Amino acid sequence: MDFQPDPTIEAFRETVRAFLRDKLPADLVQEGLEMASPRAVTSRWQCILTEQGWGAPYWEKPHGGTGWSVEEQLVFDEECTAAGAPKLETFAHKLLGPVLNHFATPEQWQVHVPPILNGEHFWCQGFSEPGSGSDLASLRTRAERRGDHYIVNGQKIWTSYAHRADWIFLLVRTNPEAKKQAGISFLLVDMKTPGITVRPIVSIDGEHHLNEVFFDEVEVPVGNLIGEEGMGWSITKFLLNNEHATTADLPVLKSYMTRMKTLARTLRIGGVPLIEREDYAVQIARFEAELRAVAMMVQRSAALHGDQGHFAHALGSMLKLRGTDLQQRMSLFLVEMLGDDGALAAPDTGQGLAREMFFRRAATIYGGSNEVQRGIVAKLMFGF
Amino acid sequence: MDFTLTTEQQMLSDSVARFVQNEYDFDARTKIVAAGAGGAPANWRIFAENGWLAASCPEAFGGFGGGAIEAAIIAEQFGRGLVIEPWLGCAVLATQTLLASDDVAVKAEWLPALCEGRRRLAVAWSEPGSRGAPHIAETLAEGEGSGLRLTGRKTLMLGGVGADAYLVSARDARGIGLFLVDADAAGLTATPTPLHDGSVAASLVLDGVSARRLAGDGLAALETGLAHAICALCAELVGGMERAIEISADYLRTRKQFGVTIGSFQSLQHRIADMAAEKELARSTLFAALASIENDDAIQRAPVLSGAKALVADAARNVCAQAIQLHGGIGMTEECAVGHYFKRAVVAEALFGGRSVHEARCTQALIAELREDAA
Repeated sequence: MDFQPDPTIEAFRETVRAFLRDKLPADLVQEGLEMASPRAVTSRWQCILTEQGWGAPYWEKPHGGTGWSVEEQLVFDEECTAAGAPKLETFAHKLLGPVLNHFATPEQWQVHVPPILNGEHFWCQGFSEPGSGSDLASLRTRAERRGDHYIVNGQKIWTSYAHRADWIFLLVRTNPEAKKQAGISFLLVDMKTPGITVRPIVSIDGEHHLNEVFFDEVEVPVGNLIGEEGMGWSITKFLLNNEHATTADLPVLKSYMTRMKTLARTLRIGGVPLIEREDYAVQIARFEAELRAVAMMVQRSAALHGDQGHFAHALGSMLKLRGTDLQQRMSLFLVEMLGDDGALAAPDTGQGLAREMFFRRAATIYGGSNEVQRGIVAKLMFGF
Repeated sequence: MDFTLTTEQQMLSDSVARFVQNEYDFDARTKIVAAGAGGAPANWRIFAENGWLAASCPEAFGGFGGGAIEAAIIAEQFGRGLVIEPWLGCAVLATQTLLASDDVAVKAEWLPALCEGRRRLAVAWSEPGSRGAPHIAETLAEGEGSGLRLTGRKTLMLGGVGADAYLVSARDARGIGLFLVDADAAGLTATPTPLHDGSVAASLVLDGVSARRLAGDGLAALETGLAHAICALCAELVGGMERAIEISADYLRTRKQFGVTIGSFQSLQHRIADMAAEKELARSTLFAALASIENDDAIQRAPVLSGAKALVADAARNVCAQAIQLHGGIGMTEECAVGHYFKRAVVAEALFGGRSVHEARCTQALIAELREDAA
């Protein structure tokens, strides 16, 4: 055990910074805390990254990725967020990409990966259903084989950015007779296929990120099945396992801290900046100590990447518990710092902080609710 | 950064774990506590023979050349066993404070003897009015050379019982210095003060006591010693939390109510999962503190160490209190181990300054940083 900084990581950080200084155009810089950047902005940024050879920053080299270690990926994300770089299309990069790399045929890979890397295709994830939230394996969207097609009928919900996606990766039930996990398959569907209807859901932040997606006799070529029929559940477990070190959303937490410090310097009570008031300053100092701990927990989780042991898996769940809890408390405090303005609905007072805070309530729900994570920890660590 | 123990570190961890398992189970510990001496002399000899008093001291002074990480490894295992011998006060705080001082002669005279366990040194720095802030000292040093005399009061001195000498912080014209005082010096009254966890500290009254001033900046040396002590205490608490959680998990697996083991209840599963998550966050905090000791200067280090002390001691109180709750009534009894982990956490909160003191220190550092940015 040692805690010496890794010189290769620090050199890598400099490389990323230099790249962002040279190649991130001023008109692409994102000032706000939005969950996603405008599509055209993300597309242009994707092309710039691909031009640099960094088009797939989270993938292994044989699959056209950068082959960066998890530590390097964290540095890349952190520096991009700090520089205000546009958000990447996460569904393609972090969720579908690794699945295509490991389970797709060479033909499927050729069809779907290049449009991701040149910013043409945006994806969304069709997992949750009205009756299948935490109990995902109970899903009922049906895909019935008819000749060279699957006929898909059913409904997905909470589908983020379905309204701007070109494709959806979908969990469907291909065999209603099999045990619930065994009857599930993983299907890629073109959102332009007739029979698909997208309906917006406005969340408590007043924004439209979420959707319901309806499938009515939607014809999908059998060639769009990933892996074999019935493999959908094991593919899903693979996909979710890739996510551990990133669930704490460390770059977001760090940007909260930056904003807190800016507000503390600029906002005043009776002419006194908040930072000169112990009641505010002590709370920021507490958040800073906790953030340092979560950042180290992210490093520990990253160091265990690929470890299939119980502890590695449980640590990912514990990181989600602590990271999302901190996100919610920090975003609430940012609104608290605004004083009277914290109550105003006008979207530009408080620089979107209230919107961000409202959205963060979802952090303990998505990606496996925190109650599900506690169940996982209890099972893996203690055998309950 | 590498989170896996080296072969040597693993051997060190295993050897301390074996001692705790074989010599320091709950019954053995109960007997040591009941004896009231704050530890068994035989155990101190075991610590010395195994090199646990010398682990973080340079080889030039008779140590094994390790650092804060090696101390943390020992402390974590001691924390699991709730070891009450004053290893933290003597082998960490006193050794590291002396090591950080500029007094070559005192170091050469004392450090090898401390490493071998031949002599014991304790640091008297906290005072009734300082609450763990090392820069606050009302104890006065007056006179020079052989006429130098100390007058004042010190509290919560770890390892003060049975020490051969004390390192006392006191104020003189130059600021706060460290002074070496013989335990049998005239005008000195040391009173044992038992703590909630069964360990025994001491309070000190100095009434014109003859002393020798250590060369160099005593306050800086004391702060370095305290930084190491805080790291070791955090490691101890992480070990304690881990053990309290294991004991609770065992209880949930065996205790039956309503015809089933209580571990089958989701409310209790979620509670123990939260305890485990809080413990892992505390361990991450410890690692951040160790990284800071390894890489940062004293000014950068101060808020990191203070933040760690506040956060880990708070986590330990929470987690160990929940361990009592998971046990129900039996957790309230002296015969049940979990209550003793909670007691240690309560004592730890007070040691080296409580949460409020350390949070205030973090806050001052933050204010200074933001003022500097604004300027």
